[in-house]
Amino acid sequence: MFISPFYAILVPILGGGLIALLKEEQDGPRNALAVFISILTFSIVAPTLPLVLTGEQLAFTAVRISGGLSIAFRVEPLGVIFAILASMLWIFSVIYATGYMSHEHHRRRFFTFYILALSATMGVAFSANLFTLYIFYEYLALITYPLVIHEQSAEAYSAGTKYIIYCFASGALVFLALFTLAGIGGSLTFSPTGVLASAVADNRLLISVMFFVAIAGFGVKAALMPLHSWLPSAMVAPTPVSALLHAVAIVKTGVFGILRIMFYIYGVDTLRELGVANILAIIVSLSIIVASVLAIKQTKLKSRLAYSTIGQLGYITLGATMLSPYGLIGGISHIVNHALLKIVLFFCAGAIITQTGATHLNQMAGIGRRMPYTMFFFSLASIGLIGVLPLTGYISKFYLLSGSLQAGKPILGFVLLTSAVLNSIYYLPIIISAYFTEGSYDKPNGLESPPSMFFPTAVLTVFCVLFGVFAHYTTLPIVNLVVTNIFQ
Amino acid sequence: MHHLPAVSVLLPFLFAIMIILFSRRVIVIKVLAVVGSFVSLAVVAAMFPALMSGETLGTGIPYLTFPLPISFRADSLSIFLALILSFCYLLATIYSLGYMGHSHAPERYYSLLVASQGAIVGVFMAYSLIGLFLFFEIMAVLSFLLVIHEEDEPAMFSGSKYLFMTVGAGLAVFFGLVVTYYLAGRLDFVPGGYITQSSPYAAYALFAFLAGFGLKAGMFPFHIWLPDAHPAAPAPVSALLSGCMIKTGAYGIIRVIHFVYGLDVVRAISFDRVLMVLAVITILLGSALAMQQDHLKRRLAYSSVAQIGYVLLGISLLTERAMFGALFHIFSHALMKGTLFLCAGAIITQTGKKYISQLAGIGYQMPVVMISFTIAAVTMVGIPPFNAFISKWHLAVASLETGQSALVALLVLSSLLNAVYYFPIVINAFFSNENKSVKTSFIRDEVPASMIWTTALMALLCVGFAFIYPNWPVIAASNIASAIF
Repeated sequence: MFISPFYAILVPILGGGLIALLKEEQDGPRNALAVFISILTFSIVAPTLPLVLTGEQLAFTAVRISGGLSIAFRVEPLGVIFAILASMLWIFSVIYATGYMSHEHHRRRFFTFYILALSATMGVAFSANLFTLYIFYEYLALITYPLVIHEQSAEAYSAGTKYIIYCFASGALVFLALFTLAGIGGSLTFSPTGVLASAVADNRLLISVMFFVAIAGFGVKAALMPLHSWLPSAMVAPTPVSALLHAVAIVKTGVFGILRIMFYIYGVDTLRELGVANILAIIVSLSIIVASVLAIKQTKLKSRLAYSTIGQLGYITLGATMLSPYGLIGGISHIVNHALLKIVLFFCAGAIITQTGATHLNQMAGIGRRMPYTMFFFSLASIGLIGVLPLTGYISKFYLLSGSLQAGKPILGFVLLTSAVLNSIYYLPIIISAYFTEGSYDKPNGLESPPSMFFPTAVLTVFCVLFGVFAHYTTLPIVNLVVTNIFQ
Repeated sequence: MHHLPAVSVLLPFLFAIMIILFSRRVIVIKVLAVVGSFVSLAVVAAMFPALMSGETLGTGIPYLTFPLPISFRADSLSIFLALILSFCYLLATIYSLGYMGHSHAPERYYSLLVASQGAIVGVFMAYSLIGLFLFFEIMAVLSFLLVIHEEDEPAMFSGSKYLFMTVGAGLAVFFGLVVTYYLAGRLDFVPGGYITQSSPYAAYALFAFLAGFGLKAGMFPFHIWLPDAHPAAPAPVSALLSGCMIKTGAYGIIRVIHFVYGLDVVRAISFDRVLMVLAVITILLGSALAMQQDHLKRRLAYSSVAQIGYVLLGISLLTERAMFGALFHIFSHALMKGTLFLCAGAIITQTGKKYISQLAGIGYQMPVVMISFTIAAVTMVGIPPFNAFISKWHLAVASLETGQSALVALLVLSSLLNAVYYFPIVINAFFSNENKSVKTSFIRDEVPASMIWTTALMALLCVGFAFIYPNWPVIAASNIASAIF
């Protein structure tokens, strides 16, 4: 079948290879090819949405390894959400990157790995079992390393080293959990009701411990505190990479892995029986609050966004730990909502860096004069993250709060509200100082940033509004489907 | 007819966009602003028959899809408040033509002003909590931008204070509506309410609403943004903030306790008691602090705190008569506080004086403005036959009816305090002996005509409505109150 997920993984690999064949100075063909490949991937993935909404699922086993291990793919709702989100945002990121990278060195290397990372992300999204997920998870870490060290400065190398150590430690933990659980439970094929229910009675302690091992493993990528420190360091990467790391691919694969472990390996009933989710909820709540407080202390724009990401990712995991349908709807829809809002913020940050060179917040005073539209997009996205209507962030917050009530844990709702207040404390002053203080900036001549950077940002900002206003036609149907399957 | 509520909300936004698009010439901006404000008022006024007949207008077509559709509908309460406040908006917009004559960024100012009219009408017309919240947030952002229009140090400081507090208020309301949605699975308004089971969650929600809407209304202990933000804004904006925007908080409380939660729930968790205590403190504290202010606009702002206390007190008594008093006080306070702030703006425009102690003999330099000021101040004190007398009278009677005779003493005391902090300004303006050098013959006000006429008209209406027969605000307010109970 044409829309087999297999092609979505294969196309970017081939495309990355083609890009690598082009010469460094062949910018035109390379940019066109990169954009084409990401659009092609999206158009392969997009038809899966109506497919899964009708209740159908596709399965495909690529390689059978002995002992029940196999590399297998499956098109099912949660994976489709992630795949469509990632491949859609990839198009915008690639277009943006063609503008952002136009004066950078090593563009060939950059775009090769940028496109290859898409393949790994699609692999993660469509994995049918934990083993396949693990393979693509590691593959993604390797592919993104050259992107993190792109600047090749001492700072970039040390950030890259940190990144790779964290990633492999993360992989090792996942691997440990993978084999232990496979030994106990047999099949690790994802199922919306979990696969460990029958094994819990005999191996209660081990299964509980392995839960935390696996969560710690994926928690590294999901930047769960205290495993987050690679993320702010990785900010030395070029902004399209930061946007990719933060909004779309890497951190979200971590969260995605956590959701897979919690609901598709353990299952809601097993989690309730073990009671491990409550402990995780405490850790995540602390992570949200501490990250938000640390965000206030950051003086660099991108670092502030990085800490904000840590806090926002916590929302998703927190929604999962509530073990209530509403909470999970909130968590999963926040994958989409946070991706849209945060990628806009990073695109704005990148535009500011390339156009004015301002990287620190105190250099951004009065920048609203030089980049009025960019700062307007920034303002909208940041109030969206605070949870103001009608931008998309309020939807997740609404369901997360409902979920905390449904789970009988209103305290988690207060964590979210506190975090929203902290969000406003670290976002609003940026906007106010950009527009209402005197700076050394002049009005722009013509468009305030290159069109390839300006328009993706503008379009995504519009998406942030549309996804908020028309949530019932965009995110919610499929998210509801995922949640109904899990809580059937 | 049934499309009017949606049209009245969307029109001002449309005009705001047009102002931004055609911002080349200042005159075009001004014309568009006045026309936009007027057209919106006219659309609201076209709903007047429904106000009198008690009909609910609206198509029920949903505009947003989450989590329950937002459709624009208007019952008498919505139309009543929208009509009064749109009228104040029109006067303030016309006043701005003179006051903001040479101000910077006219396109920003007028587009925000017109858009905020749309937002405030939207608060009243969006017939569900989620719609109310949406426009509440839009209004908060727009009014923040209006407060900081001058972009000077005090404006930025008080604007930021306002912004952060209003974000907090928004989150409190958000929490309240999530809990409500969780309890009932709906967020629309139904007379009499639909949550009739008292529960801890209902209490959380109601007190979250109290905090959120109370902050907007300037209720103690959340009033602290108000005395900074109102004086820092340009005078027409101060008039609108004090006259109109804080009323949306009171409106929110009315909607929540009469249209979402049943009165049994409200009584069971002693929401009304808490509101009453806070209202009493708000009245006393506002009056006491108003007396200490020498800055004219700050005194007016604290006076607003005290006056909103009356409205909240009327709501908290939970009787028909008290509700009538509260609604009518919303109406009369909008006019009188509007007048007072417009006068303060005129004084600043002509003389640059901001402090009460500098205003000796000003009545001779600005007779029309100061006579308007006097009328509004007298109204504020509640001397019959002026507007506020009617609301205070009914509040007092309602207090007696509910057995709260102490509240009558409070109302009398507070009227006395009103007199103490308003009359010296008036006396000083006309009968000052301290400074012999000031002229004692009347000269003409030297502020632009658009400011004089709007101020005078508003002052006249403070008195006028007590005499015009039939007095529709009285009829409308009493209809609404009897419909609620």
